[in-house]
Amino acid sequence: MSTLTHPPATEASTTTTPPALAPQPVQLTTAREINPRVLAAWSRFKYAGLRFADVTGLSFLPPILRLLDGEETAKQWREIVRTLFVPAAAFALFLFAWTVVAPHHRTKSGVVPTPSAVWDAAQSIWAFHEREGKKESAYLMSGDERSTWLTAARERLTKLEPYEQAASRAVAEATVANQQSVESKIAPLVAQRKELEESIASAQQARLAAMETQQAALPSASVETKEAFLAAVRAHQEATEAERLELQQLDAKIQTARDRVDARLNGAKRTQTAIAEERQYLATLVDQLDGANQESKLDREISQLRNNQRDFLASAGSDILPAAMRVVQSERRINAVRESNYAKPWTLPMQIARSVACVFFGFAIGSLIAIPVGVLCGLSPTFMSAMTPFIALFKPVSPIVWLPIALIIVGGFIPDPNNNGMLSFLEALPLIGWMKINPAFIASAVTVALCSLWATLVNTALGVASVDKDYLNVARVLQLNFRDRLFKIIIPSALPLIFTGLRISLGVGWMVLIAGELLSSSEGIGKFVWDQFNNGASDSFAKMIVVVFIVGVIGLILDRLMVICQRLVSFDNSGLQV
Amino acid sequence: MFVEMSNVTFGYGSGAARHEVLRNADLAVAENEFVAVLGFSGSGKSTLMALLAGLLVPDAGEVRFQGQVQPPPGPARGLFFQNYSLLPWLTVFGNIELALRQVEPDLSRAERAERVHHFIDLVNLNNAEWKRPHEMSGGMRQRLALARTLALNPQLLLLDEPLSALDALTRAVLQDELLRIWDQDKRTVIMVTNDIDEAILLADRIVTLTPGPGAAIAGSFPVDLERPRDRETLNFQPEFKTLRNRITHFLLNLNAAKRDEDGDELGPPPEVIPAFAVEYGNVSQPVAAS
Repeated sequence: MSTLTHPPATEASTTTTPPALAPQPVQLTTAREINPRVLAAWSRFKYAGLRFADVTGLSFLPPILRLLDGEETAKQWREIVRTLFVPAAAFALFLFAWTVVAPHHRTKSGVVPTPSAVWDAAQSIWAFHEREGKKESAYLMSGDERSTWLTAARERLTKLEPYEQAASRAVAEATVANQQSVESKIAPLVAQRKELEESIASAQQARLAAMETQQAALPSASVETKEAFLAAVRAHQEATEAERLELQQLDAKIQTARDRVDARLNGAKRTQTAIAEERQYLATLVDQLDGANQESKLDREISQLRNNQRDFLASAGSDILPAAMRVVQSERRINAVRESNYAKPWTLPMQIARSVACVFFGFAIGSLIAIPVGVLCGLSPTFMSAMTPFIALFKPVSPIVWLPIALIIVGGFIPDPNNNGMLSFLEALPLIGWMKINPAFIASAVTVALCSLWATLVNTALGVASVDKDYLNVARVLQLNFRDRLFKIIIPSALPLIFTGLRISLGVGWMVLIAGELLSSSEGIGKFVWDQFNNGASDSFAKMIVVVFIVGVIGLILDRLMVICQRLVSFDNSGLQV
Repeated sequence: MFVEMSNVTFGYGSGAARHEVLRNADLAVAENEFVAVLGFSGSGKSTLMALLAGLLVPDAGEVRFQGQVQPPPGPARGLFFQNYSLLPWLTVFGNIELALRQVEPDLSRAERAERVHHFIDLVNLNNAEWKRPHEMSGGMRQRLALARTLALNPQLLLLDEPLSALDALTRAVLQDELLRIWDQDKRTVIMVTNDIDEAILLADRIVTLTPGPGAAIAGSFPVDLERPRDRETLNFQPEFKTLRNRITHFLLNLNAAKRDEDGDELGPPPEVIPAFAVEYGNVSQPVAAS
């Protein structure tokens, strides 16, 4: 062991201390002598960490680093409690409240999912993504790899069978048990209803009979007695109404009890669904590896081609042309199979990537407009005055309004999306080709741009207009020309504000995008939510809540990225000195 | 005359809100002359410098530089800004380089770097080459501002309190540096200062500004001390002491006259604080007391 011959520096120094000191609590700075090189490395690490925390705005990091350094321990603990434990506790409290409250709210799409149901939904989203990826690669697989996969998939399918049977048995048993418990709960209610029905019927009959006798005895001339009779009839109607309501309430109660599905049945059904899903996946996988596989399709087509070629060579007279046609068709089919791919459906991770690409695309368009216009606005008060009505008018317009307009205008530029030079060029690009950029994507991006550019525009204009007069005096003394004045004085000095604007813009753009995708049916996170809403599967609701967290986390990451950029360009930020 | 100001009047605002800073100020500086301007705070020293640099245009009268009437500002009149006006997004190197690039655009990258380092050496900022202004002390910033102004290689050097924020030791070093640079490479310098000793040490001639508003140049004291001057021995020369007393009295009288005029009991406090107060106790006494 190399550690025996070359003990680490820290251990080497402990061996020099007398053994009596050993049980003392380890204190990094005082009690133990530390190799100065280790100490220097630690201090470099610490300062790098502090700088990183400062640039990224992660306020919980510095107290941890300082605590490890033994610096003002009590103060650091207070800071850690404030920046780490308090938010964590608040989140835990939130999860707890959610778990407790959610099952009590019934909706048409079932009860509100609990955190654990949401976690299950997230896992099922991920499983779907992975399975689709495997199917895709299965389609293109060939040779030994294909046969190995095929065997494994078939084995798994056979293994799944007993599980499947067990699961359906469990579901049947649970259904019966559930039915029994429901029946036992309903029985008294049903009896109660019958009783109530009878009592109501007899009460109504009694009232009617009373009224009939009263009617016979009614003197025709007296107004008072007739009015009293009318009041009796009114009371009868009201009583009937109240009785019907009572019956309805009881019926609703019975229906709720009847609809009740106990946890056992739910669990059994979930297991059954999971197994069924896997089975379906394996069946498709086997198909993709076997009959529908590219290689096997090619084999078939090639043997077909051979036959056709043979027929063609053997043909004579008027058969030659049709035989030749068949050969050419076979060749064309082979080429088509070679270029074909598994028709992979959109999965949430793919949709997330497309959404992020879309928001950056829109953000780039918006910034490319907003920064130059903002600079011009800042430079020239006249231009600013000219732009003011547009800014004031268009800034408050909602994405819901911009999107249809953008869809129409983009559609005007791209009349035939399947046959458009730019779109097919984009589809051929390596990294973004699979995203299938279409008019809906561009319209969503344009909507993001239109909604988000205002913050950048206004902040850029402000930054440029408020350049310190002293810096402009420096430019005058240096006799900088317009270009140098703009790029060496004005824009650097306005950069922090420009980035403040960009940060707000990106945040706005991200919020707008989800709504835009939902409306335009552009594949992305918004489309996923809309599909789930329309889908109405048992876990749709939970999947939508998964999206809430994903959108939040990505928004947070985007914001942090912008904060980092902002900190890096802000020259007056004393925090950067660390 | 190399630089000339005649009958210059300048003020901010108009009508009743007008605050007149300078009224009928006259100043003429010969080529290669070193003139120090002494004045009370708020007497318009910085405005005077901005007018000389061409950053401001007088309301009446005119400023002539090398025969031209009010030419636009340029590197030929290098202004040291009182608040430094360093570009905070550039490093020490970048700030000096920006100035150099303007006056010597044809230098190669390596040559320019060498010239930048020359100026960094000159003001002793070698260890701070890649620091930005907000990472440096006030004194370092002041030295950087001086280096940037010198890098312009101006024919007229306009120094607006260039050494005011420095500690006594650095100040002395930089005074010697200024003196050396000027001796080596004679040029016209107009320097605003609040230190009489500094003015006598450096200048050929000292002029004073009357207390504002509506300040004018009053009094011109030629400094006939032999060059090169040595701060060690200067203090003991009788001419130095006499001149010093004369200027101090002149300034105090100016202030007293102003107070009589305004009927103001206190008046602006004189900014003239002798650096060697103990040695000239009898002279500095009234200053310290008021």
